[in-house]
Amino acid sequence: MTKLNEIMKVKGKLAFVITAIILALCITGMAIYLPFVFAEETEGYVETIRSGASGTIVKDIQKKLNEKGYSVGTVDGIFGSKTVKAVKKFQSDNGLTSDGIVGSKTAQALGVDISGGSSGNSNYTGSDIYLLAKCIHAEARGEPYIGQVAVGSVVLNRVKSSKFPNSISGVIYQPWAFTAVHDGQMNLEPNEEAKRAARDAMNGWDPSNGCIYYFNPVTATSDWIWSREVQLTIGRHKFAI
Amino acid sequence: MENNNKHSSAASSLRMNKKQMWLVGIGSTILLAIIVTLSVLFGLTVTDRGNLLSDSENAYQRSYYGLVVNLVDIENDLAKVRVMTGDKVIKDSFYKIESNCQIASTHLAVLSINSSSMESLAMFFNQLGGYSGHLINNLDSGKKLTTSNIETLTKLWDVSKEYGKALNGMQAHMADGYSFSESLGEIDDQFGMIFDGMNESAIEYPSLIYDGPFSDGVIDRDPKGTVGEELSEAQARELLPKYLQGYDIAEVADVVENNNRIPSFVYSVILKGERTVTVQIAKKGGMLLMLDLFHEVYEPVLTVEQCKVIASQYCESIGLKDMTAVWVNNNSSNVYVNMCYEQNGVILYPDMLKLKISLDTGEVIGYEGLNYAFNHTKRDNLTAKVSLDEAVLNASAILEDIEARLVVIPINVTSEKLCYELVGEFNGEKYFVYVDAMTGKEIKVLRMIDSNQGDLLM
Repeated sequence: MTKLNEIMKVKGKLAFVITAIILALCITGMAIYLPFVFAEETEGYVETIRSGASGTIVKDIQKKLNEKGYSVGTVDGIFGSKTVKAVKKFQSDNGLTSDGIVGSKTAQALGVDISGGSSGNSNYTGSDIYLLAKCIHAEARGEPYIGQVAVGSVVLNRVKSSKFPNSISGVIYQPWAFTAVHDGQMNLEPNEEAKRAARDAMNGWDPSNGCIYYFNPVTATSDWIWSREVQLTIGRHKFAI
Repeated sequence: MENNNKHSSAASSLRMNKKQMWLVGIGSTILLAIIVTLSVLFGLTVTDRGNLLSDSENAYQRSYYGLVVNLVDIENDLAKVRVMTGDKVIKDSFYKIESNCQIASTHLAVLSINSSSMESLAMFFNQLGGYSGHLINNLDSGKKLTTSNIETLTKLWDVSKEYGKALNGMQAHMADGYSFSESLGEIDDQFGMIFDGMNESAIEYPSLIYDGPFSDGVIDRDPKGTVGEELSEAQARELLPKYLQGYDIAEVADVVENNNRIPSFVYSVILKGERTVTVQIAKKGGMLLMLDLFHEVYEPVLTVEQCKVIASQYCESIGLKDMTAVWVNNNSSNVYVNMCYEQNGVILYPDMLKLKISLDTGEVIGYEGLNYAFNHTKRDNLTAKVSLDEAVLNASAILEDIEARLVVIPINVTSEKLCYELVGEFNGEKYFVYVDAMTGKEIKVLRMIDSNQGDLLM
């Protein structure tokens, strides 16, 4: 009898402890999960500008640095060693991590807008190049440079082709056209190589030689793609018409 | 004793029951907590997922119904335009067809899947739109619809009816609960299958050759610029040092033959210093079609002027004479220089090639000569009928500081026109106005969107 009682007592305590643990877990779980459920997706992509970068944004950064007395020398739009030095000095003077990289905080402190969105000017070509670079990066990073240009030229050949949508965004976002768009890899920030490849493709370089399809024979899931006439292989991709 | 025993056992059983009840209580609390937690979390996820699914389904259905309506309108206008006689009503119908085709293409792009039959439908819209635009131009220049135009339009009308039937066939599936968001892209998707079924029925789709970018003529055109003997691979390979002057070739790693567009050999050449360059050489005559190389630039030292000189020298050295730099774009690591053939002082934009010069080493790291290969030839008639003064007078009076020259511009890929190129400013922005040198009519106006994209060289 007493044994039973003791067992019950122990079991009771055990049950109590287990309940408490489970309840605590549930509450913690909800606390962690619920914000994800209710949170609004915060879109707002911010670039970091670092050594080796070039262009208008770098020019803006250099102008601001010069204005604020951190000399970068000539405003040439190239993020070289002088600019890195000036950025580091500016960062340490302003209580920022002195890494020589202009991220969102440093940009804010400088008063420069480095967000990837449009910068006031309606610059269609610029956003097209960026979109193309993102597609190239997502679809062909790790491929030889010429293979990346070729992927870009396939997108542009589709724009020109009567069989596909007539804009770069239309072609890139066409459902099931590109795996990396479908699975979200498209939102990765393109690297310098992809950006250069996009620029080459936009300027008319076409290593695919007029192709409107490419596929990786190892991962291609569609039977239909094999019926296309393959023109050339670059890296892991077969390019076809 | 017995009673006592009975009593105590009853009491203990009562006590046990209490404990059991307590246990049951705790048990149910745990269960309840789990159920509540899961149902809240799962419930939210399901509602969210449900909303997302119905949002995407709605978007697909909107595109589907939009497509059906556009196609009905197109079919209707194609039927009517054949019995119309007034230029104004005919033109209005073609404008409507053109715009319906554009909207239909956008709707189709939302629904499209990888299938050749879908591509035929996209092609139908693009070509019909382009053909309508071409007929509008004809009517504008005083031409009438010809019997052959009417025949083509009738064939296109037949095709539009077939597509309409196929698209309408989807409505039965939708009534049976077909969901675009769940089925599109699947192998046995009914939406894809209605078009596949269509391909089997014989529809006579006319070959559309007209003045427009989607014309069948664009695909079939012959390169005018590649002339000379057909080279063997070995002969083409001998040209590599000429095209790769200034580079130390380590080895030719690969060569592939490519017979699309302009038959060519594509070489993959490894340079000393572990860089790889791709060189494409036309079989006929050995013309350089493309060269491309990735070269990281850390310390740019050259000026745009120096790059222009390098570009000109390169053209000369590979045997291309009379090339003039017309456009430069400096992106801080390399400079793109666009060169055009110049004949008797007239710039020929269709005969354009592009060079990419590295701003640190001054190497030619890119060459693109496809348009040059397709279009280059000596032109016969480069004499303007309209004087420059007249052209300037005809152009917009609002532009300031006008500079002008005679050029040939490409029109819709397959044709070209002799024009005056007038470059002027309005409100601090640059505009390019092209005036037909034969008729004095303004035919095209371009606007420089962003000076970062490059500079025109006059």
